[in-house]
Amino acid sequence: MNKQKRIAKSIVAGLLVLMLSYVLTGCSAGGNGEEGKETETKGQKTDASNVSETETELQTSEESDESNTSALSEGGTRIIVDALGTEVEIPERPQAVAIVNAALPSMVYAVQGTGENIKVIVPSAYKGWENSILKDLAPELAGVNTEVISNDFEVNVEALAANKPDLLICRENDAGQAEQIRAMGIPVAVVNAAKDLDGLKQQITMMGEILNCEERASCIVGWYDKIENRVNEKASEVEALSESERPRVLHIMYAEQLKIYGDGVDPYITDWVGGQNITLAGSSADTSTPTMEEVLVYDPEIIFLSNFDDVTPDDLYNNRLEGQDWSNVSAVKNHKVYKVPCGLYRWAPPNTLEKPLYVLWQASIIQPGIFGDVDMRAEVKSFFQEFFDYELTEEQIDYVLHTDLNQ
Amino acid sequence: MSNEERAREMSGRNLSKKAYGTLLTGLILLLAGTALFSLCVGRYRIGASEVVRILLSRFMPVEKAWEDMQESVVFTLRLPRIAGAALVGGALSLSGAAYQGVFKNPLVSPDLLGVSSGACVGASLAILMHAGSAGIQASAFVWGMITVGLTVLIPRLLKNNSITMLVLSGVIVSGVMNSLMGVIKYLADPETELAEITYWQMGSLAKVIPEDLYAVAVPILAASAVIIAIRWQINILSLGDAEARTLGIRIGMVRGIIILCATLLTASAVCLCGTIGWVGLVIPHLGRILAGPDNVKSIPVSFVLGAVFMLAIDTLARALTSMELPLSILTGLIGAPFYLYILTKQRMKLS
Repeated sequence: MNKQKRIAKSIVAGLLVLMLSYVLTGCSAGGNGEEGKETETKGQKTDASNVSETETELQTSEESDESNTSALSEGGTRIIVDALGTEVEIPERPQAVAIVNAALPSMVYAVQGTGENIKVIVPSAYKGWENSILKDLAPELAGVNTEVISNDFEVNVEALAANKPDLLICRENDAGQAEQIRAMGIPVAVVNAAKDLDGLKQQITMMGEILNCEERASCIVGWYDKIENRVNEKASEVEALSESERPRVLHIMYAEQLKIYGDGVDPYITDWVGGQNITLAGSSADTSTPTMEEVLVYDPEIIFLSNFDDVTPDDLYNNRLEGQDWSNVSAVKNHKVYKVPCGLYRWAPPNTLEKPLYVLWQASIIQPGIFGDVDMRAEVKSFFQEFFDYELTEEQIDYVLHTDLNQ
Repeated sequence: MSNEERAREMSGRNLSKKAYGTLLTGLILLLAGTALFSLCVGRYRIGASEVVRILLSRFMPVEKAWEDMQESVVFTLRLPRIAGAALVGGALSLSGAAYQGVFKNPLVSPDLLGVSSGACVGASLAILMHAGSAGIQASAFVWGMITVGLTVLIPRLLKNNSITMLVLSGVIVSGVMNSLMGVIKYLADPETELAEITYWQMGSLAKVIPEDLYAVAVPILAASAVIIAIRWQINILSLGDAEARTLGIRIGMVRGIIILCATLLTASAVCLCGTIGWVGLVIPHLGRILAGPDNVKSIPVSFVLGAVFMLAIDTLARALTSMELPLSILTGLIGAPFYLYILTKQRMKLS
């Protein structure tokens, strides 16, 4: 897997200019043993970055995907090694996938370019789908089953079996029931839980292997690399910042319970783009619940609100949360409270595919002096255009970025 | 006249030997029937005749007319759960009956003595330390013993051996243990350990796999066998220490063995499926209503009754809704009103 990643990286580094055509030819080869051929096509496409041409190409690649599906669904299986080192035998083309996580369904959609085979998800993932742009991209998720896996990721195995999935995907920290589910003849593929962008790239690559869309996954990883490079180009400027020039940032997950992301991907990004994080004694988990007093001592200058609740920046500005007093917090006084965007899925939770967009968004807010050139509207638009061939309207972009709430 | 017979004679209203035989056989048949019914219901649709044929196929050649998945559902999911539910129900009920006999107190049970919450604290601590399933079991047992020790110690310190004092002492100790649970939950990693601990606290058999079952079946069956073998001595203990001594019973040892076994039963049950309230309190009372106050008869009856009750509850938990209800919710909803009914029926004098 590492070798593949290295190859993918070197290809991407060499062909940055060709990203678009690379993306679009990517998935057609997924798992059909045509990878060699694919590389050749890529080489020939040096000057074919014309949008209309690539668009038609995407359509044909989808069509060929479909014909592949019918041909391969007749019982072929592959063996992959999952994130926990278990050998898992999975269908060549999974037809009914169950997903034990709220963020992963959107990743499965993104890696495949379709959600047709997603059959069982958790209720909170469904709520995420309803409130996100994914509802427009993947209307096929409307009838998906949400009654078998709870929001605490407990699986009712018998009810799961009744839905006849041919693959179940979960993260390593939710793999407790894997043995029981495998005993039912349902293959369980485990992906890692990411703590940083490298972890996310690993997760996406693994997802590509599991779903037989390796090319498409490596395109997405390439996009990660590209944005990582863009941020790293400014590394010297970020390093030159003095302590007082780095704003104190707070990532809130559930505002009413004051549950925050104290560790993990989001604070890591904040640190990377030139902000500071709250340090709390003891807890090493991604989420923690500091007291209001601890928050007041820290005095955040920028606050990010996740999409898990409906609390808005306005609620903080007007001090509407019971038992909390935000009126003297710098972020509130300086009008710097932001609702985190929500595209395919909420951007804030640790393992979402759109994390690179979140990096750019955070960077442009935390260090506008350094990352002022980032145009979030264009970034969002091109992400959906590139990977899903979907043109967002201006209203949809506003919806993703929560423009109305973040004024 | 042997001690056993004398003890039986002294213990008041009695069921004739024949009636007792019929009762126990009836209950065992009821258990088998409930198990069979439970095998046939669930979220995965399998017809009753299909289930029977799948079962028989293990013993004789039967023409295979079912899907592989149906066979997996029966053998990997339902059968271990049913065995687990019956074991846990029997264990909790038996340990309740044993405690009630030893302490001569109809109000005690694994919950009220604090054993359940103590074992739960032990299991959770072991989860925090990633001790593995053997570690969880050992830790649950040790903490169960510590709590029962504390509960028994408090009345002695206060030189007050009344029924109320023991119950009060249990309330105190389980209060402390519940607070410890709160501390442990606060310390647990919310992403990885908290869910597991919460699961433990609410009680569920959903994740029972055959290996877990073997690990707890041995201590449960062994401890049950010991209690059932020496159950006639509980009768003697309940006559009071002086009488028991004249009958040549080594009171301290017998009492110790029974408490040890009863605690092992509770701790094993907690290890398999977390804390489940009410069973250990309610079912022994029902057992005595059916079989009379003679422990020789009421203890085996309580064991089987507990198994039937738990099995019925667990079947409800898994078949009623697709997202499972924790067992403690159901035992509380059904067990508590049932206890009230028994109390009115027994017109129990609590002093």
